[in-house]
Amino acid sequence: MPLRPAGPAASGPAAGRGAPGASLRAALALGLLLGFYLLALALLVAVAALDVVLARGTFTVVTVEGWLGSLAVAWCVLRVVALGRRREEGREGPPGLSLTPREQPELWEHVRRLAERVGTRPPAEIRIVPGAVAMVREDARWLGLVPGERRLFLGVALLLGLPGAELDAVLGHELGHYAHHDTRLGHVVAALRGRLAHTVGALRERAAREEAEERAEFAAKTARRRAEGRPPPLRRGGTRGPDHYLALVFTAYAKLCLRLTEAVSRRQEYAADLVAARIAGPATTAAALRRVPALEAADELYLNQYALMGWDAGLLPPEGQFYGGFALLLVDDTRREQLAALAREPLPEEPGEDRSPYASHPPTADRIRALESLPDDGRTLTLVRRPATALLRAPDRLLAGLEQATLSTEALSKHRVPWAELPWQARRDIAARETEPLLAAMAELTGAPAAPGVIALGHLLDLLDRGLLDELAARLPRSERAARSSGRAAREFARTAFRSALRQLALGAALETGLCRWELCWAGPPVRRTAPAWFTEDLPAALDRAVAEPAVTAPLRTLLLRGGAHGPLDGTGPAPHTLA
Amino acid sequence: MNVLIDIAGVGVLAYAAVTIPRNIRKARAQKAEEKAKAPVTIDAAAYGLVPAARLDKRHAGPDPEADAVAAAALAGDWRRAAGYLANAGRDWDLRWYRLGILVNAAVEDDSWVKAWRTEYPGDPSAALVHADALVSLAGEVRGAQLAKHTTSEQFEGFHRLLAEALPACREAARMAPEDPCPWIAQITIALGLGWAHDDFRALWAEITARDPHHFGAHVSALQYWCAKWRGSHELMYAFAEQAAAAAPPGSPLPVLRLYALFEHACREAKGPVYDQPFVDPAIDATLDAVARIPAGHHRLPLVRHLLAKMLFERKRYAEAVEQFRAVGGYVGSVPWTYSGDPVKAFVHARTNTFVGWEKAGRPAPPPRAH
Repeated sequence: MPLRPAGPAASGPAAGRGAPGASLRAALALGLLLGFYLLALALLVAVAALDVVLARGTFTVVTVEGWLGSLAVAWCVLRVVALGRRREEGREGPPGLSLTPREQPELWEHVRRLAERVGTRPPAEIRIVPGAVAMVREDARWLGLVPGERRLFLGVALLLGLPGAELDAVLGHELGHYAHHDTRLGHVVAALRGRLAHTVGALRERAAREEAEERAEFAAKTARRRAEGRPPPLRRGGTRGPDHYLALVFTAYAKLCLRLTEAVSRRQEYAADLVAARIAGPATTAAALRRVPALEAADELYLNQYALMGWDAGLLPPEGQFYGGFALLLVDDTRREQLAALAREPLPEEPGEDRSPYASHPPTADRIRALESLPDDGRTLTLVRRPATALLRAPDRLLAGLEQATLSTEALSKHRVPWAELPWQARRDIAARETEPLLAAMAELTGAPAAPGVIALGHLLDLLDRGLLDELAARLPRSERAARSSGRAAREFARTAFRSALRQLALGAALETGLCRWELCWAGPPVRRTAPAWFTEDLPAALDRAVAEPAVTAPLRTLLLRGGAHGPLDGTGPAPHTLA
Repeated sequence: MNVLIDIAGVGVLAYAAVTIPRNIRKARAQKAEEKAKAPVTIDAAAYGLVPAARLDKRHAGPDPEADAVAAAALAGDWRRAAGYLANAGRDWDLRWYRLGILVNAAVEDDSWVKAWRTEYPGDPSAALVHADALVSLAGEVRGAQLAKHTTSEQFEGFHRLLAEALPACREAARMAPEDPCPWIAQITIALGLGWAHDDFRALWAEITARDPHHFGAHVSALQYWCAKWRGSHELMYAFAEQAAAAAPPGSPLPVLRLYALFEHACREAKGPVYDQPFVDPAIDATLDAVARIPAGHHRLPLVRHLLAKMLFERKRYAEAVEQFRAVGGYVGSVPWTYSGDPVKAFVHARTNTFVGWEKAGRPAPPPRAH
């Protein structure tokens, strides 16, 4: 008994094989796809016909020009068809870690059971990929008429972040794309959409490149003429190549196709949602629909702000934690509340006219409304949340393997440090790099090498006391503006550069002595600097005094001494105990 | 097949019928545009003018004494600089003008100021030069670009130097209680640090208590009241009008109205700023003031440069010709220095003035009723 959604989705997304007009629309899609080739063929025929007409007339230079022109157009058209063929890597899908049934028997068994319940062939490959995505792909041949190998792509963020029941809903949805035989031709639609989008995109890109080249050439010509003292060339309206006009033709065709196939494509989604609802219950499916975008946002935030925190310093979180650390973010109470709030947020309502014809999915709000209109099957939202990771055997090994499969060699060569040390190690590295020129200047002046830290700061302040500020500052690299200045202004620029380097050194020393700490904070912002209020307040003034003329270094020394640093800063005691 | 050829032929003809006239029109318009853009040139020497290549970009007018003093100071002779400043006496505006000459030298190199201050630690003039040089140096570090074209490094240096300059100015003011100059120097600090209107008015009261019609102070304060700094067009015009109206006879202050007008025009390059009804009377008042200012007055070049620009904008070519002839071969003054290429701006205005004057048949300037 096919489930029929009521409400706004009732007229369009009738599911099941019995829906009238379904095959008709699928056939339309097939026709449109053929039309893509027909359009190209028609263009070629038209060009050829023109050539024949030209050949009939008297043979002149114009005839030859015409033939050459038509050859160019034909070449472009053929290239467009060739462009339509997507590269093989696109068919391969995103890179990830393929799981064998031996490695993950529970997950495979689960997917197989789900496929059975959906009533479709299980995938031949399960691949874990980065991000919060889930999709199924079939390498169908011959315009999607001959079935091929099925692959399931599962985002690691979903495995880590979705409760088991909601993961079932997601898997059910994806498998549901194959559940109905009448969606078989849906591949044609997908193929058509993919091909047209790719063709139009490629044509536009080429046209834009051509135009940019022409503009660059014009600019070069103008510059040449100006150099020769002649007036600039007359600017003509940019002549556009055949790619531009072909793009216009194919864009128009693409728009037509997308409008015509929109319903087919969207109905597939509704139908897949119904399958998911049958597997996991409508409430759970709706919850999953809401949770996935929230997880996507959280995953992006996690990668940018946490996993890549130490990138510039050449540091990454421990092995298996590059993707796996997302779980740590998800267990944080503040983040959990943020995620829940994000998932509760009212979904954007798209008025009918503004709907993008290019979107393959209906608005999530409509999908959820359709799910909510289903009869309650008695299954309520399970409050006991069994995480999806329970399906995995040795998740740590899996996460480590995923890193090996997806990270670049550059990323893999980074140094791995524990989470707790990542912020301050990264910070220390950046500070060290920023103070490098200053230390080099010191070494140049004193003849002794200097390493960043309290000792170097002590030596530096001694140099300032000896009135060597200008000598030191003059050795620092100069900005473009500073390089253009002279006299006292140049000295002031150097002093500004010196002050910011000194500030870095002082902060580094404060970090070393434990006066300041950089801590990882899952609740955000990712790095929290903890320093006594008096330190933060007094530091700018102390720095100003240190770079003034004459230099007064006592305030800066006192400030850092107060934090417990001894020795070099007061010029007496032994070297301090360094934490680093 | 013949039908096809006919259709194609008609198509080509129709295309030609549409495009050929259009292209002709386009070409004509372009030619006219280029002709309009083509630079007008005149033979400067034929009018007794200094040619563009020999214009002096650094000075507003001739002042050989100032040049000699600055050169001597940079060579280490601070005594001559001290004497130069002292000779201004209680003409506070002349003192401010001469201070500017010395400060320009001190921004380049301040070793002579240091020597002066070492020898006479209590000399208020030395303290004043030191303080105002810090203010000028801050401006030098910041550069004259708008905030969005100024780097954070420039701003950092600017603010640090202004923070250093303020106590220096206050110290100089304490050493010379009658002198308005240490207070006037603070106007630029007020600009840079964005003082509130009330704080600025308190500063202004200190200045006017010492010299109510100080020209340099008014020019500086006009900047504060500009829209680009802390004021608005209305506040700026009101300030200029009040100062010009209250100015004693023989004061160059009426030119402040033109200065304000020019600031307004810079802000609204496309607006009909020069067509406002008060512009011509303001120019006339300034011309009257110029007639009363003794020749060789240190403010006369600036007044004439602004007058020349305004007369040119108002197409009063005969009078503009007089001013351009009077300023001679000097370009280093407002309004030209506001342009990226002051010489170009000056030559453009001057050339078009003389061309316009020539076209009108070289009329004599209308007589001024005094």
